[in-house]
Amino acid sequence: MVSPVAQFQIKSIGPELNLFGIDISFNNSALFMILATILTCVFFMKSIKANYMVPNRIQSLAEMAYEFSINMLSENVGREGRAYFPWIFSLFMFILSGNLLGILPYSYTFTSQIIVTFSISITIFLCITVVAFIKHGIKFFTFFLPSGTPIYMAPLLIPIEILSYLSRPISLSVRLFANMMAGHTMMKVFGGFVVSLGVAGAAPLLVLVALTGFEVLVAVLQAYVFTILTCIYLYDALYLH
Amino acid sequence: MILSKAIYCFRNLYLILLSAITYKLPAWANSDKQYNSSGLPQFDTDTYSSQIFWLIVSFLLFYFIMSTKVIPRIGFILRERQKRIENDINIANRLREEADEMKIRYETFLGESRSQANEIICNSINQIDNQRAYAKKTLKSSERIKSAAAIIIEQRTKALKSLDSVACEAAADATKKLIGVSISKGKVAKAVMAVTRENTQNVT
Repeated sequence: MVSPVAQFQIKSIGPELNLFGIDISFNNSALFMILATILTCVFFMKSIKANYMVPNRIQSLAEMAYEFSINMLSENVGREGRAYFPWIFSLFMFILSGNLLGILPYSYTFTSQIIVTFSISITIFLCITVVAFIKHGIKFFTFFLPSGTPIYMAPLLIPIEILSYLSRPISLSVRLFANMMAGHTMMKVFGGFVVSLGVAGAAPLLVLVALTGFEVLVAVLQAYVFTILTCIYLYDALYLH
Repeated sequence: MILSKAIYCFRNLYLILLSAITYKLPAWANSDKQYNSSGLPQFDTDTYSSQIFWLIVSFLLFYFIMSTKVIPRIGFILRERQKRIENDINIANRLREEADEMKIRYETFLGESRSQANEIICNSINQIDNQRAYAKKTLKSSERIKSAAAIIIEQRTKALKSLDSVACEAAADATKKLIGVSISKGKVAKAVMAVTRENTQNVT
């Protein structure tokens, strides 16, 4: 039986590529990143082609995605967050399309790669810290000591706050990566049972059907959680608690 | 016809693509870098650089298309729709206000005309009453006049009759005194009647 984690194996496609001595060979993860980009862009292009005043089905779907993310942003960040809307929307749609594309059989889930999620989250973390510094300057460090705390608590509280702040990108990336990987591993395990049990494999098949539905839920939910946490961090950067 | 041609064309393309892939596959397989496959594949650091590179490329492409094409157009249509809905609501409100105003005007007009009609009805009733009372009065008086005229006629005929007899007696007395002859009553009456008829004829 194939190992359930073999599905996460990176396989290079095409010739070996190098950029300034760094290996940038095209592989299945990259293929699905490009595929997600192209598919989502085709979907949006098709939906906004006519731009009806009364939307048709595909257009209302695109508008739902737009309004969902703009509501998420304005509820969690407020008016000042409007400037960051294209980033938040792109982030949400990119992760969502990657997660949903990964559920299809024989496809690859690039969000189950820790390096992908960590790259995204560390970029978000650095950008948000830079935004906070630009906005508040040196006052940004008051973030690590919430106002109203007694001064004798400071030696204890400041390291905890700094640690929790620094662990944000890790928790953000690991949450998405672990969710996607666990779900796909579980599906693979049950899929192996279906094949090896023969006729009795109908029972794990039923479980697999339920799991697939559950995976769709997890895919959407994790994209949402990732984006809403980004919004909350952005709020912290803009208003410092 | 066109459909079958298109399907045929697609099939040919697909076959060409498939043969190209099968032709190239061994070369790709040979060029495959053998990534270290111990443990979780996600912790194989050899793949990180290429994944990061392609992530940056695809996400920037994604962001570029979203921010330049998709978001402005969706935002535009949503704003337009919002504007149009607000406009429609405003128009509807204005029309409702106009209708309310018109209704108030109509009701005041209706009330006015109703009171006017009432007034007219009251007036005409009064008039009719007056006229009726007047007519009654005139009727009564004309009846009285009639009866009075009848009484007068009666009295006159009575008086005329009594005048005849008085005239007869007076004439008989007068003739007796004047000439000392008593005339029979019948003769006197005849003469008196003739005289009075002459008189009345002259009078009438």
